[in-house]
Amino acid sequence: MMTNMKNYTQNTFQNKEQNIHRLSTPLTEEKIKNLKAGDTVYLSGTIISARDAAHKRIVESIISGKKLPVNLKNSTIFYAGPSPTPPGKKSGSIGPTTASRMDSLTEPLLKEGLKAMIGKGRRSKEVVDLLKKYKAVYLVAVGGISAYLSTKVKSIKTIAYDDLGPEAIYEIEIENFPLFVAYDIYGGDIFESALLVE
Amino acid sequence: MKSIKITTITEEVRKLLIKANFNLPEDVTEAIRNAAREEKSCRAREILELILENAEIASKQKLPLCQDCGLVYIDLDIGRDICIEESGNLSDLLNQTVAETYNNNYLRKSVVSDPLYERKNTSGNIPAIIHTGFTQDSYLHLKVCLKGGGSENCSFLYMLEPSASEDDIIALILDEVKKNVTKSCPPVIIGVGIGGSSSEVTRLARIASFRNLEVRNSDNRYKRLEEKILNEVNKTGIGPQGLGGRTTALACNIEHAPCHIASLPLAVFFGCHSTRRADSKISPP
Ligand code: SF4
Repeated sequence: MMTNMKNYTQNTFQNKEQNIHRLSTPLTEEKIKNLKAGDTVYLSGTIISARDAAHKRIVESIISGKKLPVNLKNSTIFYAGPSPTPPGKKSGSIGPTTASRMDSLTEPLLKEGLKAMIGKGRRSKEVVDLLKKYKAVYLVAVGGISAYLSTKVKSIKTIAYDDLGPEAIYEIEIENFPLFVAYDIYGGDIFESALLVE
Repeated sequence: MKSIKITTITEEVRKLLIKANFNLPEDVTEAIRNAAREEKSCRAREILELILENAEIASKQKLPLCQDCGLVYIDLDIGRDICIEESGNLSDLLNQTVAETYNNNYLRKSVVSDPLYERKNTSGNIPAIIHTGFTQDSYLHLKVCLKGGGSENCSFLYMLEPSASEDDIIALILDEVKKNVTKSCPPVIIGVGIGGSSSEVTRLARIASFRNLEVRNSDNRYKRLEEKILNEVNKTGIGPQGLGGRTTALACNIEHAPCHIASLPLAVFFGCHSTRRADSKISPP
């Protein structure tokens, strides 16, 4: 038990020192191929938010061949519904929502070129396989530290589905937004590896 | 009869909603601080420290602790001989206060009108879930709890056979933790209801998950069960956010009640680390 603990500490220290990536959007296959489950990523650039209701609409549009309100090629989607921006602030509190609710709606978006998803929590085995197939990654942000994360946002505005309120699609400019690679393009899984070392 | 004006209550609810959205309760802050000190995993420690930093930013900058400002629960425990002077319908007035407070303070509105068909946002985070009860106290105890959707979705109810044992309960809870806890923003507070009925036990689990972390069940057997469950859950290694470590839960709180001879209801509420609650006692003038 004690030795396991020790290994564990060393492993995470190694993770910390060696595998930090500073990346900018758009994320391409070239950029994400070095990412391994467990790595830390500081992401900068433009990303979009979309959660349950927006996913439903996007998938309906894809199926019926309608034009999408956003271009998904090499895009990064943040599963998030931010709180309103108070006057004088760049953003309201913002953080990840549970990713698994989007599992059954993910493949059509991957087909359109989605490269990275940001959320929280484990996802289905199918998603792990889809990420291998479409060469895309699932990143996790720490949930419930949304006031802190709002300090990493430079600007935020709705760009589609305004009527959905917090579930609209937002365009978000982020700077050094702290993330962990949860599932990589090789089938690596942070949740499994985190358990093995304990 | 001593009376309290309804406007005194709504004004207090407004203050409690603001307090809960922007401030992490002290007992939770203390539990996270202690966990950070004891955590061996570097990543876990880092996450726990971020939670503490988030709480500081939230209260200083008046930003909600979490973007999900929750579904609002309002509990009114009315002491004896206390009457509420009404100039309108109590629940309408409370809901009006919730909507105003959420709109005026840039809090997220997360309630849809119809669960199955329209799912249209009600734009005021209402209706709140309002419970009234009666106590022997000399005051009105007002409690506000905010419950986020992510952790709410991991709640569960089992109608066990009366022959089920303590070990069966521990095994069930561990199983649910392993399946779902990463979606509930761990470290969580495991609120357990045992007994009552199917509807009563979920209320007990909710109350348990919002109970002060320093309060233990007053029955020694249940207190030991709280400790056992917490211990087992923290042995899983799931850790903060599911990214490894020993702090999967900050506490396990059990509330129990008598039940039917044929039943043994069990309900569990995962309270996320962003446990938002505030309360105050209003005495009649
Ligand atoms: S589970 Fe809690 S901390 Fe996590 S996003 Fe929901 S409300 Fe926030």
